[in-house]
Amino acid sequence: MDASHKVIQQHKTTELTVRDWERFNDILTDASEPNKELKTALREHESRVST
Amino acid sequence: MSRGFRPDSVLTVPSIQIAQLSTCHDRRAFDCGAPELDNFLVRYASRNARKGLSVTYVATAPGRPAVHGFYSLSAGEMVRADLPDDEARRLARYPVPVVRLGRLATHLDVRGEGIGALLLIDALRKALRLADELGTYAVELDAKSSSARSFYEKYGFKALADDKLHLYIPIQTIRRLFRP
Repeated sequence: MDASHKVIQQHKTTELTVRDWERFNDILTDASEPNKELKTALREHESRVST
Repeated sequence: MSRGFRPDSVLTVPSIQIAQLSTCHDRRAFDCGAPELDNFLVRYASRNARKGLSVTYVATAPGRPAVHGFYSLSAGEMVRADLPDDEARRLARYPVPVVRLGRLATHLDVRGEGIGALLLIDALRKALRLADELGTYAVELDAKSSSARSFYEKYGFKALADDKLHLYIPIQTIRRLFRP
């Protein structure tokens, strides 16, 4: 692996402990509804932001 | 980080524009109170974009060059640590693609005007577009402090067990936000 490839690989890959891997999978499996604050922020974004 | 949303009448930047960082933007005066983040914006953000490591988006008042806030996005993947063979057989081990939200910050002068939340929503919208195109399970980030962690948790991000500054929100939740 050359140096530049190694930099990119380290940049993008995160290794989790077993406990965190299980927690991560739980978070993905049990995706919650967006909460009230997130919905409020979306409305604010729609009224204040142009791209 | 944002304390919430104030009425338009008391905002110094009531409307903002969010665009990919370019030479049109004035970053030199950016001060978020964390020198490493200011330094990233000034010295490394454009360089990282050229290298394909991350892309930085900035918030400005419409048509104005001064940067009021920014965030960076990059591709990432999660993998499980290596285990002894007997444990490895018990748990799935496959890389999970994620969008990595890095270095979201707002200028001290506009702190409390909700710009951090506007940048966050913008980042989540872009992550959803990416997920539609190439497949992504979650948006992940490393909060820089416990107060930053509280900011993200307020919007539904969840922390890991061993690394409590490492936070996630599933793409499924983001999809339900934009496409209820």
